[in-house]
Amino acid sequence: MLFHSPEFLSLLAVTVTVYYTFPRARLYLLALANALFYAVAGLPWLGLFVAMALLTYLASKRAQPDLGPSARRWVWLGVTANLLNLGFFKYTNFVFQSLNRYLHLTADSKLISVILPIGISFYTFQLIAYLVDVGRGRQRPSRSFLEFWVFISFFAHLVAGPIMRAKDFLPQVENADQVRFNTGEFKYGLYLLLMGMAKKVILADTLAPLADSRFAAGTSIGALSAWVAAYLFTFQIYFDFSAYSDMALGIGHLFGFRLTQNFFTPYLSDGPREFWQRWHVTLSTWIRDYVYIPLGGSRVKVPRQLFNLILAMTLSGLWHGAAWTFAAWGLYHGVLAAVERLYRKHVETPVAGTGLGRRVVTSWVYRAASVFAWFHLTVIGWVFFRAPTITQALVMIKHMVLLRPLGFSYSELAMVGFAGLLFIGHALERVVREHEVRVHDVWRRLVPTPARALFYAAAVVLVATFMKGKEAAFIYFRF
Amino acid sequence: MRALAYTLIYLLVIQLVLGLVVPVGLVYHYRLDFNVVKNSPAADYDVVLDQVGREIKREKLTDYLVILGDSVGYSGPGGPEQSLGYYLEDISRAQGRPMRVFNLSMPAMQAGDIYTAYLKLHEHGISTRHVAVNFIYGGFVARNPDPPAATWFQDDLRRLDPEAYAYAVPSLKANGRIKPSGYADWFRRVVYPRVSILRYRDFLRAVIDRYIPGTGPDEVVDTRPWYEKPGLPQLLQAHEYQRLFDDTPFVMDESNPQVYFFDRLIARAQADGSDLTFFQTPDNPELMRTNVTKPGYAANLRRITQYFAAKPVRFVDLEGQISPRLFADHVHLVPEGYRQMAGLLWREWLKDAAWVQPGPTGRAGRGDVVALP
Repeated sequence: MLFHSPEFLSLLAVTVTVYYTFPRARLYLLALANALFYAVAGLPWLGLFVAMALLTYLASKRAQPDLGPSARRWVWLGVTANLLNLGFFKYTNFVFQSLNRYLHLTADSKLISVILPIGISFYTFQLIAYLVDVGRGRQRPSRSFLEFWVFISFFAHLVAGPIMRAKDFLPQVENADQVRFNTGEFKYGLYLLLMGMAKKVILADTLAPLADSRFAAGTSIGALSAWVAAYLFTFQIYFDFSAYSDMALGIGHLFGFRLTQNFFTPYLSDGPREFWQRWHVTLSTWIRDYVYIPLGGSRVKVPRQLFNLILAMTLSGLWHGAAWTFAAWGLYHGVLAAVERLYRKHVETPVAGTGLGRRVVTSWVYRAASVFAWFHLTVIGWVFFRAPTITQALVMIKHMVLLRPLGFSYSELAMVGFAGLLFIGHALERVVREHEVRVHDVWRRLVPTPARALFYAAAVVLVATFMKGKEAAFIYFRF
Repeated sequence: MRALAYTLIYLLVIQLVLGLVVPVGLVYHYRLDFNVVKNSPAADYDVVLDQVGREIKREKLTDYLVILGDSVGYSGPGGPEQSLGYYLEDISRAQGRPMRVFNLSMPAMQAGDIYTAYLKLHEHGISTRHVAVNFIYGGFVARNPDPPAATWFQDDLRRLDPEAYAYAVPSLKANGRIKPSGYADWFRRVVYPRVSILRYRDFLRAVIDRYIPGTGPDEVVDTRPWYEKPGLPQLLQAHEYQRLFDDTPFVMDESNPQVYFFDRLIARAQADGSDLTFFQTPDNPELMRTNVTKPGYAANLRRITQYFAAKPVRFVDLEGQISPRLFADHVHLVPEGYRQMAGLLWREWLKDAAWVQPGPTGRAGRGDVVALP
């Protein structure tokens, strides 16, 4: 059931009403609502999810460091079980298809038809983070399975994040019965929900066919169309994924919960470091805390740091999907992050040490040029992510870089202009998000209530109109 | 919270007036727009019927023709102003006996859908005084198990005629048309039709799509004749097309869903006093020569004729009446073909005194089989 479907919204309304009517029953209500929400994907998948949650919960009870040396074994047991679960459902097809393809083996067709349970990548990462944090002594185990289940399976973040940490969300769940209805909080939740729906159905779903039709041209695509395809997908995936995050946050606010914001207008970043602090933040920090730092982080020598960085980013790519294109996307970003690190250390920092150099490096022109360059490197990266094969991705990128064959047409040129407008809209989004309180204040002061209500009603009508007969799923549901 | 209250008021107003202010042309223009309704055909078909019913009431129409049928009745692959309904209105006006035609055909409609659509007409205030139903030879071919007895209107069939639905269930099951339904299905079936914005959203979206490049209809209108389409003969060798010309003797009893639903439709139309015409649209005799020259094919055509001869309906057999040059493929026509089809039909109807002058009478041909020259 998708967040932007009327049937989900009707159930949400009922759940919110019951939630505030019976405060003492909140945990039971949320536990049930979460289970029902996930059960739509299939009862066996719900069973699997409950089993993994229960196993992790029980392991966490024995994983506290003060329980002696066996605690570590429980952490490893729980983490291994979760990784095996994820590996089996997510990577079995990929492994066997790759073996078949590259080693000319003939794997059993039953093995290469494993279905991916929805949200498995997200809940696995949450379970691992929780268990590792307990094992490190940074998080006390959950008091009850009921609270743990609500924390891990809260339907707002269950299938596409944000990847919530226990330290951020578990205390909120434990105190759910203390939540009082707050008009401001509730309105903010509705605002985020409506904005997320608008982003998804009006922007992302409208861009999708425009990008799809161009990617479908395969290797025969011209340079201009390839750029347009990549631009459009760049914004499609941002609107799609950040829409889900906005809606998740909005739903959280309706229940009085604060979920972690995942996106901060990432295409205005001036390089990989800033980008990953603005794009899918909860995944980036997860990779940093549970992959990059355990590999040695910044404590090891520079070549090893860079290798670890590239490895972590490649694994992050593979987390998105079991395909070489995702691995290539992660590798590409890993290499760019490594190059940036070297550039900052060996070029930018020394240059900034001189008077003129400092003025250049801190100037808005330098910042704008960096944003422009990094945005286009990001756009190129999305080609790996979206193209069906590495070959097509490489051919497209070759055409984009060499501008040959150009395949010029005025309509495609107009689409480049359209992409420019989307970028300006993206910049405006940052202004609005960073000054939400002020914008809200001005909006309330200058626009009379009936006019504001007219705008809200129009937004509802527009969103409902743009909803498809069969709603398009979010891109990140695949992961 | 005042803004929320105002918003709810605005939404309530929209709920109440949207259906009244939507222009008919948005949902019906000489036929429905399959590109618009294909995502929710059953629900959107009701919107079309609603609007057509409203237009009939607004214009106080009493003398009009309703066409029910498949993609040939719909007049694919041409546009709405190249369709059967358009040409029939045009010809009727030119001949001094203007008649409104409401072409409610939809691609892939099966006999079960046509029967259900007929039952739905009354619900929307549309008279069944003059109803014409198109079918093709392939409609009588045994199902294996495709196509289902009803493609689009299973839920309406269950509601309007449970006995007929029970008959269709095995065919629907065999074609995977009956799926376990959950809350979401119930919500879509029960709530969507009652919420104006959701009810009309496909049509409003179609208006918006006109202004968004690349999001309009994905069906390319190709009205070239069949002989200008390279690869078509090879394509038509595929089983899904060849089965439409199967020369195995037709089973003309009620074990054949086409016969079952036509029998039911005829019985219902007779009870309503409807003037019911069945017209068999032709197969392309040149492109499908190998198929249509088989003795079994000709024998099956005779079985169809005999079937209708025994029924109290008018039957117009258009097989062999349209030049092969006017076909777009194996069964569909180019616009001029549909114009000719409209002319042939109109000529036959005018042979009936009840059709010559508009009036409240007009019964079916009672077994007359019209032999065209």
